[in-house]
Amino acid sequence: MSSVRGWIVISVLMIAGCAAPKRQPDPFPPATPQAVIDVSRAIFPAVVRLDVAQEIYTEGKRNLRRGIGSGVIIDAQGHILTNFHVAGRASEIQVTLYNKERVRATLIGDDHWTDLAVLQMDMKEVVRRNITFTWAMMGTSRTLLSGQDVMAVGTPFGLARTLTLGVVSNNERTFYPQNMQIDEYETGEFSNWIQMDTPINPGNSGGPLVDMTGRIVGINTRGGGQNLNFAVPVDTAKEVVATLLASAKPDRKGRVERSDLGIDLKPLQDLETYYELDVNRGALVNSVERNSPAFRAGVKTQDILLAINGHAVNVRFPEEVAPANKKIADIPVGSDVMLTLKRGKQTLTLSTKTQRLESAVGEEMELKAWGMSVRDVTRAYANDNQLDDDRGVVVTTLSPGFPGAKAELMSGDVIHTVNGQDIEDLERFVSVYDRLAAEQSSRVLLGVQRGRGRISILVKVQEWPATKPAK
Amino acid sequence: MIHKVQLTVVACLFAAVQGFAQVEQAVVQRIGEQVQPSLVAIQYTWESEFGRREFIGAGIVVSADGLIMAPMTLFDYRIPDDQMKQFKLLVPTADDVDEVDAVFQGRDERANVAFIRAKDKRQWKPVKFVATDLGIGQPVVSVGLLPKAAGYRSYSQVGQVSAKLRGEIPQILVTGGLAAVGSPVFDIQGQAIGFVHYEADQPIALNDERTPLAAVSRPPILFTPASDLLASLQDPPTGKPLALPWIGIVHANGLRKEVAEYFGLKDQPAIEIADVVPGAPADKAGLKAGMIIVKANGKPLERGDEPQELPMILNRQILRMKIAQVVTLSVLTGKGQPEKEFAVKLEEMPSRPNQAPRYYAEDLGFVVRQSVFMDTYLRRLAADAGGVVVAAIRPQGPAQTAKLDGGDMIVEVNGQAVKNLEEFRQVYGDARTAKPREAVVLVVLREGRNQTIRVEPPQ
Repeated sequence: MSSVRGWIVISVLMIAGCAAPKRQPDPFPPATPQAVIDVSRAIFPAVVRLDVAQEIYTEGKRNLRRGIGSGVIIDAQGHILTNFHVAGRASEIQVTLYNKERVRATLIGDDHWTDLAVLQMDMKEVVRRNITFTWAMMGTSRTLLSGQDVMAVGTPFGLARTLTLGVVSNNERTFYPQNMQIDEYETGEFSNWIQMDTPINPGNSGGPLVDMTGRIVGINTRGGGQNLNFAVPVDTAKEVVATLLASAKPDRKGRVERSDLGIDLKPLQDLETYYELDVNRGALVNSVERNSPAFRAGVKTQDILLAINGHAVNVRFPEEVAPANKKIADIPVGSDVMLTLKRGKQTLTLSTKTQRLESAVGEEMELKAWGMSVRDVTRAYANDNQLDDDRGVVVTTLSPGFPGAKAELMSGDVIHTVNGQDIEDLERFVSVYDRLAAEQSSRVLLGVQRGRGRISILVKVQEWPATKPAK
Repeated sequence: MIHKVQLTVVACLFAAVQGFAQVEQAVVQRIGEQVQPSLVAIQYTWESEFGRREFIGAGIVVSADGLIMAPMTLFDYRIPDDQMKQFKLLVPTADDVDEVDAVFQGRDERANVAFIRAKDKRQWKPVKFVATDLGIGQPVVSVGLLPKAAGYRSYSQVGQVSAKLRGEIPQILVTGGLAAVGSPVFDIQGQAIGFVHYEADQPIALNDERTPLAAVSRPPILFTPASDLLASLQDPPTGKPLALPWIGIVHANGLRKEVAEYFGLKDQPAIEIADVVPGAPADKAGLKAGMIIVKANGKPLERGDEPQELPMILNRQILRMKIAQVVTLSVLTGKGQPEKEFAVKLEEMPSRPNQAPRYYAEDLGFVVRQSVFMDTYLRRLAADAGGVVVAAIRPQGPAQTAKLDGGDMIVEVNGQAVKNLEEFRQVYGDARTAKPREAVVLVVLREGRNQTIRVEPPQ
C-alpha cells in the first residue's frame, strides 16, 4: 500500500510546484501549457479503461452487452467511480490501469437516477501482482465558473488515456421538461449538469472532468456533438458515492434510497401574476400521482407548494426543478412531512409520510422454459401505463418460437393470474413458476391485462429446464 | 386457412375441367357500356377551421331518383358532417363532364359505405345489386372511373374469383385485379354481385395531382359480395347520422383453439369479453369481463379466418340489428360451468367524435369539441366526467407554441372547471373579452397526468 500512497504524494507535490510560491493559490488556475502537463501527469494514473459486460434482457433471454467506458479511481481501497450507463447492471468488469495492467472489478453499487456506479477492484489481485495505481481527489462543482478551464480524460472509442481540453460552458444546465432515460431507466431528475466544450466521445463516459488543480469536478456522461458536452457534477457524485459505499453489503449492491411524494413540480415563471404570488415563491404542482402520499394528503394539481417541513420551496426557473426534487428525495423515506400549499387565496398545511422512490423499471427475470422475460410492476410503471394498481408482472421480451410467443403473449401484457392464482408481484410469480416447473405442468392458463381489457392465454410448455430460473 | 387453401386448389382443378372460358371482348364491352351511365365522381369540400380541401372519389348510382353509394373512407371519420360542403356529382358524358348539385346523406358503418343524393330530378340509371353464390374460378368484370386526368372515363378490369375469405367482412379474392376502390363488380351475365371496398393504403382520390393515376395504378384484389350491402341499400341514412344499436363491449377477444379447449369448447368459435362498459347494455344484463360468449340468439357464432376476427364479425351482426332489440348471448362463466343465457337489450350507440359539437378558439389557434363516450372511456374516467377535447391545433398558432396537443382533455380554464363545451365557450370567451392581452391558463389531462399549459395571445 505504501507505494500507492507514494504516487499521490508525488502528484500533489508536482501540482503544488507549478503554482507560484508565496502567493495565494489562484482559485481558478488557467490551463497554461505547464499546468496541463502537470495535471495530466497527476490524473492519468487514476483513470482507467473499463471493459464491461452488462446484463440486459432481449428476445426473452438474459444476455450480456459488451461495451467500453472510462472510470476514475477515488481512493486507496480501489473504488472506481463511473457512469451507471457504463457499468450499472454489470456482471463482468475488466479494468485496464494507466500502466496497462489489467485487473477484474465488481459492481458494488449503482444509481441510474444520477447515472453513477461504484466498482471495487480486486485488491487481492492488485497486491498479489504488486500492481500500482493512484487515485484522484474529488473537488467541488458548485463553484465552477463558465469559462473556467477543465480537462477530460478517458477512453473515447476505446482509445485509452486520451486527454482533451476545454472550458466550462454552463454550470447549471437543465434539460427540463425533457425526460431522459438510460435504456428504460429514468435519469437526470435530481441534478443539473455541467456543460463544457471539452470534446468527449462514446467511451469517455465515466471518466473524470478535472479542473486545473487536478481535482475531479464532474463525471463525463453525455456528448451532444458540436462541442456541447455534459458531466454529472462532482457534488452530486460525492453524495451518491458515500451512500452507495455505506449501503453496499457483500450480498447486496449499494443503493441510494430516496423519498417520493408523487408530485410533478413545474416552474412558476410567467405564472406568478396569474396565481397572485410574490416573485420567486413556491412551485407549481403540475400533477399528482394517483395513490401517492401527496394524493392521499389531498394535494391537488394547481396547488402552489410553498414549503416542505417549513423550508421554502421555490421553483421559478427550469434550473430549479432538479434541486427542488432533490430536496424531497433527501428526506428520509417514511418520514412525516408537512406541506404548506397555496390554493386559490387560501394557504393550507397538509401532512403525509414520504414513500420510497421507485423506478418504472422493476426487477426483471428470465423464464427459460417459456422463452420470455418479465418484470415486477412497480408503482411508477403502473402510473405511467395507467394501470389500476401495481399488481402483477409485465411481459418485457419474448423469444420467437418459444411457448410465450406461440401463445401470442405480447410485450406490455400484465399477468394477473396463473392457473387462477393471483400474482401480486414478481416474488409471488417466481414461487408459482417454480412450482409449475417442479410439477412439469404442460398447460398454464394466464389471466392477462392487455390495454383496457383482460384476455385468457394458454401457455403450452413441452419442456421445463432442470435448473431454477435465472434471476 | 389451410382448409380454405385446399378447397381452393380442388375448386380450381374442378374449374379447369369444367373449362371456364376466357371472358369474351364483347361481354366486357357490353357490361362496360351498360354500367357507364351509373358511374359518377363525387366531389366535396372539407371546410375545416383552418382551410379548405377538395376531395373527389368514385360513386355508384343505386336508385332511379339519384341515390349514390360510395366507400365510407372517402369521408374520413374524423371530419364532422357539417364541415363537408358543396357536394357535387361529376357525371361523365360523351364529350364533357356534367356537374350536378348533391347532398350528403350520411355514413353507414354497417357496410362501410356512405350515401349522397343528387338534387336534380332526372331519371338516373341505377346498378341493382344481387346476392349470388360465387364460384371459385368464376370470371368477374369490374368497371370503374378513371381519375380526373383521364376525364372520368370508365374502364374495365377482368378477373377470376380465387378464394372466399371471411374477415371482419366477407371478402372475395380475385386474381387479375379489380377496378379502383368504389367500383361495382359484375358476373358475365351483367349482374352486379359486389363492390370494391377500401383496404389499407389503397388510393381512392380521383384528383391526386402528384400521381394522377394513383387510384388505378395498383388494382385492388378483394371485393365485398353484394349480400353484405343489401341491409344498407334497403335502409340507407337520410341526411342525419344513423342511430346504430350498441351492446357496450368495446374490447373482446376471439378464443384461440388451445384456450377454447381448456374451457372445454371443442371446434366451437368463442369470444372472451375483455371489458364491459359500465352502465352499457351488456353491463345492465350482467355480463362481465372474462365471460366467454359461445352463442348469439341460440346460434353458434359465425367463424372467421382467424380468432381475432370473431368479435368484429359479431359486432357487425349487432350493428345490423335494431335499437331496443333483445339479443340473447349464451355464455360460459368459467371452466366446467354450464352455459348461461343473458338477454341484452340493445341501446343507441353513443355519439362519435365527429358528431360532437365544436368550438374554434380562433385567437389562440385551437379547436375543442365536446367529449364523447370514447374520450372518457379511453381515459378511464367516469362517463359523466365531462371535459372538452382538443380536436385540432392551428399550425404555428399560439396554442401550438404553448405545446397544447391534439387529444388533450381540457378540464380547467383559468382556474375554473369546464365540464362541457358550453362552459368552455363561456369561461374562455369571458377571459378573452375581459383580458384580451393576458394569457389563458389551461389544465389538461394528458396520458393520465395533469399538465398546466399557458397560452400566450399574440402581442
